[in-house]
Amino acid sequence: MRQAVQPLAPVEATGPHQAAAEAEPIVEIDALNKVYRTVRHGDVHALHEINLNVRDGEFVAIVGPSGCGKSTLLKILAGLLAFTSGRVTINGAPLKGPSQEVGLVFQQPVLLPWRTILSNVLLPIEFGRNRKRKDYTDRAHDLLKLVGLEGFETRYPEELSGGMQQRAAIVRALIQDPRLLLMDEPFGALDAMTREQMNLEVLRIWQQNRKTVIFVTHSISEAVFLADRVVVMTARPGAIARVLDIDLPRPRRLEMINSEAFGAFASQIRRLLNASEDLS
Amino acid sequence: MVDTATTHPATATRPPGRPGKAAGPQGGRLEIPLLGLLRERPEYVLSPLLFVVLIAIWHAAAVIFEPPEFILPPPGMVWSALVSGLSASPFDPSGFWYHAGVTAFEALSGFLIGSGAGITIGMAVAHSRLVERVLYPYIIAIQSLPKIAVAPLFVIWFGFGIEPKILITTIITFFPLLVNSIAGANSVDPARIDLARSCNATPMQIFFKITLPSALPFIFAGLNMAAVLSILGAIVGEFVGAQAGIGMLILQRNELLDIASVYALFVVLAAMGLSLHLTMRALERHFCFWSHRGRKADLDSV
Repeated sequence: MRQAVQPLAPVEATGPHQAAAEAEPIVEIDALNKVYRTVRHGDVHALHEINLNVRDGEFVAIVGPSGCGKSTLLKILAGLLAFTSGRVTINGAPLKGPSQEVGLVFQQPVLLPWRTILSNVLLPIEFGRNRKRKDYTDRAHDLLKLVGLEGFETRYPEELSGGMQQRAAIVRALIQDPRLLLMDEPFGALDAMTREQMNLEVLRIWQQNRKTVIFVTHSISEAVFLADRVVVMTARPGAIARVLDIDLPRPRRLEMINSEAFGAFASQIRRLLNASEDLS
Repeated sequence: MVDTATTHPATATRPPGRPGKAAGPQGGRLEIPLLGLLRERPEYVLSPLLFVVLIAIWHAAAVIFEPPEFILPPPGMVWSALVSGLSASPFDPSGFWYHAGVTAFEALSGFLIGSGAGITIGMAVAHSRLVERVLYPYIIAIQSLPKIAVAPLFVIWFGFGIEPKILITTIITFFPLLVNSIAGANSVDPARIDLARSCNATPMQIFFKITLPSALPFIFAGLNMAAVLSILGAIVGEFVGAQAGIGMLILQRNELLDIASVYALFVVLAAMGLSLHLTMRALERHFCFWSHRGRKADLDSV
């Protein structure tokens, strides 16, 4: 219903789903380990032997109890955290640090209060290599329109609701046209109604822009509703318990949450999480 | 005279809230806007009123008890001392302007050097956790020391010119900025740093686009404190030994038992302090409009 954003690079006109089926892995994680060495508690195994491949255009959700290392994993993929051992490649190249191919959305919007929404959204352009802001303002306006923030460009973050701020944060993550979008419990701080709206919004953005999304969440139903695959993690050490294919039809609609198939996936994930709770 | 001087600015700065009432034709020209103002911003009426009452009490006390003029001169005498002191040329060392200029120069120079150094070193210290932990006990120890105590030493080192005054002011203003800059830099939301790092920001870009602006509310809190301290530093420096400045003039008139002039000089000092404070507040509102501190200052501005 809203006009699609012109991507900076041309993309083949296949739907995300068809593309995902035959696409190469955009993220390859091989025997990844992350150990924190602490004085008081000795070595803490935050991530243990993680193996995961994410295909181009895929929507992957990661669920798990707190302390299972899901945020650590996301920080590693964002290039913000060094890992202890293993191999990670993004887009075929070994992960060496932050990359333009990766956009990051935090639990909080993390907008700078002294900048307008437009200026916040363009912040990534000012970092790193020399780039001109004006080359990206059209794209910023289009993306703001896509998430329904048209007309709020000159407002300051505190004038916007929590949901609107998080939409702006998503636009900021998309401004450099990354292939991979990492979202770390992005809607955890929002109320239930807004959260459902934002879930639909994310799916719409994902479908229109054909990004690959890795989405960390506490919410089982959010994971099932959004994802092609759900990665269930367990804590201490953080490890992958199971990866589930969610073969619910797309586009997803809120009514599906009440369907039998949806409930089956949700209870299966809950059982996996409970089993890991009992062990620890 | 005091009455008109205080009510006029008040009516002039009345917020444009209720134009209908002020335009009312019913006789009481001043009362209606004043009443409206009293309801909306009572401090705009009550604050000048308090001033008038205090001056009246002072005047009554001087008339009724007739204390010696070197103990409590009547307000009228202080007023004439102020007028005669201010009517002298800025280059005339017997008038107030000359000495106010010297004191202001000392205070401002020290303030700029001290706070500039405090911000720079504070930010540098906060950059390294180790450096901060090593230096912090010393910073706290020196901060709790009354810096004024070193003033006589500076006079011995640098003589009776303006250098020791600037130096004292520098030291006095340095520490609030040092401590507040460290606190400000440490208060930056780590997610903001992560955001910048995830976009390949250089350390310089992180500092100028994230850390420094995030720390600004803290820095301004320090600047407000340092602004008051800078005049204190200059005056104390002049008390220890000086050839010019308001502090020197206060001592000189004190010895001559010209107490009305001493009171008039207090007024000059208060005016200097107030204008410095208002300047800082305007700067804060401009650069920190987004912080809650800045917005609160906006609301209860005088």
